Amino acid sequence: MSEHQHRVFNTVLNMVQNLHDAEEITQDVFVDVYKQPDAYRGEAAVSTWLYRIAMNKCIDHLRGRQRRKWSIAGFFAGKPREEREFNHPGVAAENRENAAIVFKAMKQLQSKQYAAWVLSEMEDLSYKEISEIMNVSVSSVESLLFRARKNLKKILEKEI
Amino acid sequence: MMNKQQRIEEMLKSIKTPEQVEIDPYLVTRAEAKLGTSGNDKNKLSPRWAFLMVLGMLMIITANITVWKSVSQPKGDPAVQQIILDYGLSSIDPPFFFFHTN
Repeated sequence: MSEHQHRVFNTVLNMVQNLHDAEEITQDVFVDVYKQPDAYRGEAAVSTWLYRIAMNKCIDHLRGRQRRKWSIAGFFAGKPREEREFNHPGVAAENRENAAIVFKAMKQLQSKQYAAWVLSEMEDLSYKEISEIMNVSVSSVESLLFRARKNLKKILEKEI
Repeated sequence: MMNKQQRIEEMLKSIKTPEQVEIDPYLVTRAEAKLGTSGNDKNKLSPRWAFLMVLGMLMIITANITVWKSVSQPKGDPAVQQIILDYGLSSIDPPFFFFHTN
């Protein structure tokens, strides 16, 4: 399992763009895997299965953060999470300012478009690999990426 | 001056395939520790909920005592006092009274 930790951690970091959150989520992924090893049914490669768990956790995390901002339950859930700043050590220093703007824009995408965009642009995975992780067809991945790019451009046009 | 579309393309390129970040060597140790304590974490009560529960209980107790005191005040009418003494009605059980106010 240790051989996958590095990969899962970097995928999660690309999704949430914050080192601290990425560490927490990576821990949660492996805690889940250790708790329910039988959940892996051998239908896909272990790495695909791990990617899938990690992506779902990241989407839940990003959605949860949005929900907690507005809900009454969020008020009583203990210390409210502050909006995390962009903190991705893998992004080159000269690109950080631009990357922070893009990431802010990415948060406005639908979760499926967001996930497909991260897997394609940041993880550099093929359409086939993305389709296996997201459990959708290759043409759906193409469509998600086309719409993600279009929407991102629209959002960024307003930003700059 | 740079075209707006070119600027957007440049921005989108800024996040393309970032460098791999080394994982914290203690992450596995922390995950193992979390495995051992994850059951306990679920049972932890948020301080805000605890405060709210204590406040609610205090309010219920205060209301109960207030009503109990107001009812157990000796009545002015001596005949009523006599009946209370005769039938031993001077003590009112608060929890019983709380549900039977008449």
